Amino acid sequence: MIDALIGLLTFDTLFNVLWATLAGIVIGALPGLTATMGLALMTSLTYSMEGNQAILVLICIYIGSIYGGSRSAILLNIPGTPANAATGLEGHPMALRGEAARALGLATVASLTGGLIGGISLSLISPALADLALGFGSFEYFFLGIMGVIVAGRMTSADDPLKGWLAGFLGLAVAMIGQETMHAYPRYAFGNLNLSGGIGLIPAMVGAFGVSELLLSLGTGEAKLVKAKVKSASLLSILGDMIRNWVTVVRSSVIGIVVGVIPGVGEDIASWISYGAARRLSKHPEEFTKGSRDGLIAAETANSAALPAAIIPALTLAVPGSAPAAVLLAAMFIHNVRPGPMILIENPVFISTVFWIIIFGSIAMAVMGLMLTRPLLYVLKIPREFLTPVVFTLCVLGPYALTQRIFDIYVVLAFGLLGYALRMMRYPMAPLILGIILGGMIDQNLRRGLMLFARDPMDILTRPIALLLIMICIAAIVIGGKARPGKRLGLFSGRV
Amino acid sequence: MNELNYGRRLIAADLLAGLAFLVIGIGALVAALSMPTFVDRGADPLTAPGIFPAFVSAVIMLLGAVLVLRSLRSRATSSEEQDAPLNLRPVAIGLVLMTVAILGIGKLPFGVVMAGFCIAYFAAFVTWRGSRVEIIRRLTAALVTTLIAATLIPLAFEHIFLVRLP
Repeated sequence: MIDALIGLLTFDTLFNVLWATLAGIVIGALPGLTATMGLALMTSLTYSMEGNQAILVLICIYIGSIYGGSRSAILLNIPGTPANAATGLEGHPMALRGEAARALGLATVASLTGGLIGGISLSLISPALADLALGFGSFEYFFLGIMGVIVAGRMTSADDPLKGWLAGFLGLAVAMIGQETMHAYPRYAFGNLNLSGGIGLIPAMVGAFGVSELLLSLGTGEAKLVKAKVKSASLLSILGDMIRNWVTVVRSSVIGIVVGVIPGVGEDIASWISYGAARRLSKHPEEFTKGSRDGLIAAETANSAALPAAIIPALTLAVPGSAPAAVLLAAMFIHNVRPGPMILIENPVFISTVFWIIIFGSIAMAVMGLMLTRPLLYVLKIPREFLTPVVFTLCVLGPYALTQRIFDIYVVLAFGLLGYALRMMRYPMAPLILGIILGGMIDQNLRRGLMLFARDPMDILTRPIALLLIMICIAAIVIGGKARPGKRLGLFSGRV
Repeated sequence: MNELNYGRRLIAADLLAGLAFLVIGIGALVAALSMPTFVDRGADPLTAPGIFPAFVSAVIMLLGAVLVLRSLRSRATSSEEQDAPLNLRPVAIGLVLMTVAILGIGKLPFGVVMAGFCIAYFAAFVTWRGSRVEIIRRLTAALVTTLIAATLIPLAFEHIFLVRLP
């Protein structure tokens, strides 16, 4: 742990933490730029960096953007990222009654608390999970992958799990395109050399999250900044609010960590579950949606605690806990870090390095968030129509820079269109991307597992983790099968 | 299966999407079953490349069929939010501009393509009415944006990240 800290204590680290966190806050604050999209675009900027610094930059952008989304949620009532939707429900009414400074401050301190607790959980849980994963065989990896897709589909589309599952299996089907690893047979390539090379994760992600978001934003109106007179709020009084709501802080952190660890689910679901729990258990439920401090703390603590937790399975199982963590996982591979159960053996200080990066990023986020509240208001005033061409250029060049194949630019457009159509019909994007990431791993382990099964069909009964994963899959399907789309399924209402 | 209450348009969209998933599933399943097993080369048939694609396409087919059946059994309810008119015109214009720009990449210099995209985009989406000061402000913003998108970002990729532009 100390070695990792010493390795990071350089001027480069300080410089990168500051600019990357600030860039993340701006990306998150701008409606239309999500954390996933920001990370996918910024990955291309890290190609020439040293591995640890590149991961540091991306994690700081991730931390900054999840936090930055609270700015626009509170001041514009437009969540900068889906993880801040619940924040807007309480933060915006507070801003309307002149408590914008308190709402922004509470969001900052709650995010810092969640981030620190999540960071500690990462350092405690990751080694244990990596140890456990050392005992994983083909069956376990196959069922873990399938469980990831099924549970992510169920949780990211709670009203209509069928659509979540369809998105997940569509992602698995996309992952099947191109040469497979056992016989180098080009599947679904139809003689096309580009398709034989497969569909790249980064172009697919930039298309599904970036271009589709640009298209969605074209159909929506302009947002207006809150103009109510702002009452100041001291840091001490904000800390007082946090202490008075300590039960919410603890509960939301735990919810954030648990939901974050589940493959593909992520910060937005953690935030909603935590907000829902705070509302149900509150002594003053009537204050919710009218500017409840309890609700705001619950949402922001949970989404920030889920962030480091989402990195845990990415590091130890190579299975991302959220969509932005999936980009981070891809970036790790690009920078020669091999996530998975062997990480503690091959790169023993890496988990500690990630822990310190999260601590640095969380502190930088809080300091800059508190100091730069006023300049960030100017950022929020940039009209969307002047932002779109810049984002579109990055959407085109970012994925192209990785492989320098024009085909990848076509993939961006195709997934942009697909993502737009699916999001209009209320399909979640996270399972689609998770499917693309996990497809290769599930395929290989299924075939290896089948050979083992043919040799000794009873072997699976001696594998308790595989049996547990099968039971989780069945439970998710049975519970999800009972869900019925209801009123919350607003027709063509966009962002998922 | 219970009757479901949600908007007419979503039911129609679900029906079409379900049919599309059904067709994709059937097509992918047929293609997966026709993939070689490499048994003639001494490979274990359980390592055949088509096994997992066949499983995935069968699941897509099944889920697509469930979506079709559910849509057919659903009862639409009218609500203002659900049946509000869709503002698809700007989306269609944006999509056309993006497609034309992407198809132009590799055929024209990258900066020219992006500058063309920016000009067309601003012409379509920025309001050019109002006072002189407002128009000058918007024009300046458009020029700065075009400079960033068509020159600064490509230059940064070319010279800092050593990417050969398309």
